[in-house]
Amino acid sequence: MTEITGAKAVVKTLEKLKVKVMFGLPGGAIMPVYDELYDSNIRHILVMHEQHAAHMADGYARASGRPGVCIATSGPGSTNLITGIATAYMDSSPIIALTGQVPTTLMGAGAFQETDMVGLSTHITKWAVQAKRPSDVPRLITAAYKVSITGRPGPVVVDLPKDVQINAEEMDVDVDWVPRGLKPVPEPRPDDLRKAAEMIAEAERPVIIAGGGVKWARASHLLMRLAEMLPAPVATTFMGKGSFPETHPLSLHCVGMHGNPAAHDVIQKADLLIVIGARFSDRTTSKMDEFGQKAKILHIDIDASEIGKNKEVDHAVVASADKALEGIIGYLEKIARNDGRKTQWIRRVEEIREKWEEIVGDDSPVGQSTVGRIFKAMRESTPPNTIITTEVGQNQMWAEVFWRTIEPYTFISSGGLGTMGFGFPAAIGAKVAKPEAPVMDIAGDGSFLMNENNLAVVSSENIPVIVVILDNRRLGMVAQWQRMFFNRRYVAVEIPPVPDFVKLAESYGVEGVRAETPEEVGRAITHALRNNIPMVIQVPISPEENVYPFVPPGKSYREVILPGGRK
Amino acid sequence: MEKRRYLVWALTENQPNLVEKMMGLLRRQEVYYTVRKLYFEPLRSDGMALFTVEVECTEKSLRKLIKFYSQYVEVIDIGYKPVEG
Repeated sequence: MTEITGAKAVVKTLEKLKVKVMFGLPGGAIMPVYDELYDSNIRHILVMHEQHAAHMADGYARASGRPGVCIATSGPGSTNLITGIATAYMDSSPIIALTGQVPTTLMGAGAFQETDMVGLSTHITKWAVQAKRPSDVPRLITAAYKVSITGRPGPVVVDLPKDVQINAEEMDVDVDWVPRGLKPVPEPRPDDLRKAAEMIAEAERPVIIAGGGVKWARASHLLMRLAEMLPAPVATTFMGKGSFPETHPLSLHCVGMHGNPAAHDVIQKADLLIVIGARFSDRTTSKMDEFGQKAKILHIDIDASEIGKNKEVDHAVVASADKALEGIIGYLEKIARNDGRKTQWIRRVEEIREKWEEIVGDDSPVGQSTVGRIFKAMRESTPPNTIITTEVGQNQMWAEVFWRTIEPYTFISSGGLGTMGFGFPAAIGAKVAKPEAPVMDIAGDGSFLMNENNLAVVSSENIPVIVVILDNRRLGMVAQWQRMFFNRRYVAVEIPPVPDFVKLAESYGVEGVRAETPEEVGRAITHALRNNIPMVIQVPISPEENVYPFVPPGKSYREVILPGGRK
Repeated sequence: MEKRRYLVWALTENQPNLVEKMMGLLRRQEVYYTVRKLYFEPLRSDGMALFTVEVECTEKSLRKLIKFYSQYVEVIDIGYKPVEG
């Protein structure tokens, strides 16, 4: 036990937890912690807005599988984190937000930059706590780290009053404490695993639907093993994109609002849906009543509260995806399986896929659209380990439709909250976590205008991420909905022809390029990767270009809208 | 399904935001849950508290509520019983 300040305890505890980097912006109520960073090896990346610090921590977590740490001062610094924390919460991402707070003696007095951060963040965190005294700090930060990654991951907030940071107490930073209510990762029950394996063995037309839980459990290799041993086709939810290689013959790509109609067709013909680490969100299932009508449903999820929450299922295994898959594969290896029928099913899946290929495949009007060809050029000019982040809107959905993930855990997007402005800072976080991997943010002009000041970060910190702006000078997805559902009555969707994104990038010391063709996009990416530099690539596209396929909200998969309005 | 009254109790950490967190779930889903009574009592020992809510809902909604509450980091133990009469 040694006597140290709360601020020193923050940094020493983070060092003990092997935290290498934190993203933040200092201010009065967190300055004692920043002062301790002066003597620490923890890398601090200065952001231009605290929301981006949370997104960077989130991108770091999603790329690495380890918690990301962000830090801000009290009041506006803390409230600016809120959108980033909510984004992480909706997508089950483990971030630790450290927030400064006014001294305990001033709380409730309406002090300068006072806000109730624990109260504000309670509903968007797994755990939100405030240190009451310096010696609370090591156990709370240690526990925060564990809470964020134990079971279903999620964000945590540790609020640090300034007097708690300044004052000193005797303490030991090497503590091992967790809240009594922290549930251990559930071990799958053998009976549940056996029954799941029997359902899979008996099925003639199984389909695997993989969600974000497969990625958080780093279980892609086991997903592949299950799919190939049966065999069974694999579709992913939007959050599950990147859990299974989309170049694999068994891949059906994504399901959902802008999902692959072939995947939807296969799901509607299946007799068993094996849903792993997914939560049956409305964006995935479309019309819930008609989703997988002919199929039994086997649901595997780490969170027991997700079982039966949105969709009644026939059987469930409560466990992390890796443990459940290991167990099920183990049982499947020992019992007789209906593999002959499954092989016939794969042939039928191929026929279904070929039928849809004419309509949504690479050589179809969808694949040959301007945006389709741009994505093809991007994929051809980047290695398999390239990490893609997206903003939100048309850019995001085009990335879902056209980008083909190859290596696992290389697709990062705000799926649950749908946060415009997420992609660029998340790309920075991902690049810091995985410096060896190329990282590219797919942006729209609207989203980029929410986060373009991150160019200052990539410039000053020399973080070579590429931003590709699909520039239609519109809030494109809103415009698409106004076009389709509001009789072209466009309101508040036009973005003025300023700024010049190339000049804007250059003003930050970042190379900017205007690319008019897919070939020019490919060349610009190759140039950026070869020289290991950050780059902004502005790609003008038509404001009339829609995202297809499109299942309108509340409709069933059968009511998909295709180019030319074809259904 | 028929709605009826249940008494749900949870042994929790005695945290200042606990009531807010527990009630927030019921508030957001008030189409399913009608809160009739609420008690929150810090216990003498060990920084724990007893949260008790009498809620009117279907059995299915009750099961969901118990599952949700069970996942909370602050909830150490949980139980329920139908309210007679």
